[in-house]
Amino acid sequence: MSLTILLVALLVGAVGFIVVAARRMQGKSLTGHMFRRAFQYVLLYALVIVVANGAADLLARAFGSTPEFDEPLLLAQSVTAVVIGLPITALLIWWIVRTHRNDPEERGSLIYQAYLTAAALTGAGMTAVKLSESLTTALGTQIFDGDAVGHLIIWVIVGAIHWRVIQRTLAPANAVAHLLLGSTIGLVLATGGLIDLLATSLEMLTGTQILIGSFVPLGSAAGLFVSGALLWIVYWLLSASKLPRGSIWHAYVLLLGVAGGLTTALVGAQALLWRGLVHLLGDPMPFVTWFEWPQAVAALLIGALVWWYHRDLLDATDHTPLHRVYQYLVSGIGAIAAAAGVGLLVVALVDAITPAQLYHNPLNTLLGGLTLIIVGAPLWWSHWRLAQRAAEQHPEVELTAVSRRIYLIVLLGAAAITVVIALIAAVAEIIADVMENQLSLTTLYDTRTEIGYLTAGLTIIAYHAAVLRQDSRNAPAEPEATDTPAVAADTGKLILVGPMDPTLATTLRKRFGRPVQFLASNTGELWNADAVLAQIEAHDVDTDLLIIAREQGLETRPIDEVRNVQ
Amino acid sequence: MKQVSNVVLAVITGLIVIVAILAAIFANRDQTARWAPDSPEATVQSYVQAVVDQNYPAALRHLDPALMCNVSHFEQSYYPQDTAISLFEANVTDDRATVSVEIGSYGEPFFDTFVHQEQFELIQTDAGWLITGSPWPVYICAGML
Repeated sequence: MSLTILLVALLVGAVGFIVVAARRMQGKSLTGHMFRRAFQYVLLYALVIVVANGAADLLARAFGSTPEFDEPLLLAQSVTAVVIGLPITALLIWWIVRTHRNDPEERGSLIYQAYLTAAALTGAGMTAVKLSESLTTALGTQIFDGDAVGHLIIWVIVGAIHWRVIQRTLAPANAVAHLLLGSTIGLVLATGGLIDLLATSLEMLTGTQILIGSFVPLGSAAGLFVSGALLWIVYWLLSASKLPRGSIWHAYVLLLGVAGGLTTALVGAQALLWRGLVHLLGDPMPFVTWFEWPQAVAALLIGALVWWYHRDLLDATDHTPLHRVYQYLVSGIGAIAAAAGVGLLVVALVDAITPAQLYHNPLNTLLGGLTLIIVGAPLWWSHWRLAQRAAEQHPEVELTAVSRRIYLIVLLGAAAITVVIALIAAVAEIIADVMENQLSLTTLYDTRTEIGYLTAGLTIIAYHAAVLRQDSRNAPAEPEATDTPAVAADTGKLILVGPMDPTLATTLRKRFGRPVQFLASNTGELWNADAVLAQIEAHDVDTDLLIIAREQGLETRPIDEVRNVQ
Repeated sequence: MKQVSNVVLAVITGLIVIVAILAAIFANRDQTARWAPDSPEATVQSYVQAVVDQNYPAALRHLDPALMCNVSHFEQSYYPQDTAISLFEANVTDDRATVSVEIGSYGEPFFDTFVHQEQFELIQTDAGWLITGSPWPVYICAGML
């Protein structure tokens, strides 16, 4: 299974690599050097994987563990991987080191960065998986798992060597992806492990009658949590959390921490509420027990914790672009949950009026829809209301904000795709029944899921299309002054060197009442509004500031100081 | 402020770990037999324990001889090393009983971990309760009947 995960991760990584490479290659042509690099680093990665697997298998055998379906060929392959593969890998590494000495620029190449990132993350990910397996067996059945420990030792070595090479040879800006992806693996494993640990503990404390293997579920959860937590501490707490807060950093915090945590908490809250209401008002007998209450409580608590922790990392200042992104993100999650609830209500209605009710109690479905609305609607409204208030008070800022446009377009686009797919599926079912002369109320029952999706999608489209139209009507004309702002005063001037950002200019003018000027420059990095605000607040009001958006973060200097340097 | 969030995170995680330790202590104390030795639940418990311990002759003693199961059937069967089995429900009617259990198999994180239900059918004989039907993990015996 780890091989499958690795292949999927490599596929996703390859797509990301192509996207970044395409951006960097704009206006450039391919060279022989690039092909040579691509070939040598892909070969090195494959060799590292083969040698590591071979060495891990031999080490596991030394610990007294043999593979489940062992045969002489497996042992021969492992021996070959080490005896033949290791010297070839060493030779290739020696050649690469020599190339780097002759051409130091190669260290800045994208393929070298991609190789180190992929190899280090493979090492880290496999370390976590094998540590989790070792702990599951050690804590659960008090048995030494030689196979897992053998693999663990080898993958720790692979991960640690590549981590060290990254620190020594990559520029800090090129190591950001590695740190944030490692943090992602750590956060997902640690969160999953902590949910499992709490849920399993609650189950055991509330009287689950265990026949055998009392400690196995607890050992498995603890193993997952410890391996994920270690990875998260190394990658996030000690490293990535201290990085300059650029757009990728904020994408991690918002999408994984805020959205991921919130969604987990919502799933837990909805499941808990639903189960409770079904037991009180519905029919618990046919209720599928895929999500027991301890899992729901654990998902709610841990999801909320993850959400709170990451929200706390963001600047709490109102009306900044970052705060706006947070507001629309949470609003979108709430809107989707509430719309899904509306869809489920229609499914319940179809359940009630169609004859096939053997396995679906309409009351349970109805309660499911209601709980989704109860959980999603307040979340959506509490954040959307603030966004709408801001749109009324400052239409020139809010209605032209990129995050608002993205929010509306993504919701409308996703809803439109859902509607089209559901429509095609429903019509196909209906036509099939017509062709077989079986069109009846049962057809309606068979298409109930599609009808639910259609309703949810149309609910989102109806409201948000109206908002988009209203925004277009009320949005002010593009401010002409943003490119060359009128300087109202001689002191406290803010000169920003980086990509043009009219929204940021407006925010700064409104917030500080100071003249803002942009010097367009292709520094390759977007503005981090929080960091800009923090930098301005850290200096005197009367000081003219030069703020430069660099790839590794903001550079801020008082203009007097720059003059003195010159 | 950021330090505070790290402390809160550590405290809550610590509390969950304490709950887990309490659960482990609770489970350790609860190892004593909960069911009468001649009950269907105790029979299933002894059987699954023997299977997981790979003590197949002991497991065979709990199976209905009519199933014609033997040690090689167990050796051909598959179940993960890390397995936990808990009682879901038991129904006894005269000389027949049904014991439903939840079998959790634990391996690599997320993907190899799954929990499913199995049902053991038992009949009462002079030798006590015996498992019949198509028992986990040697379904192959029933197929040969």
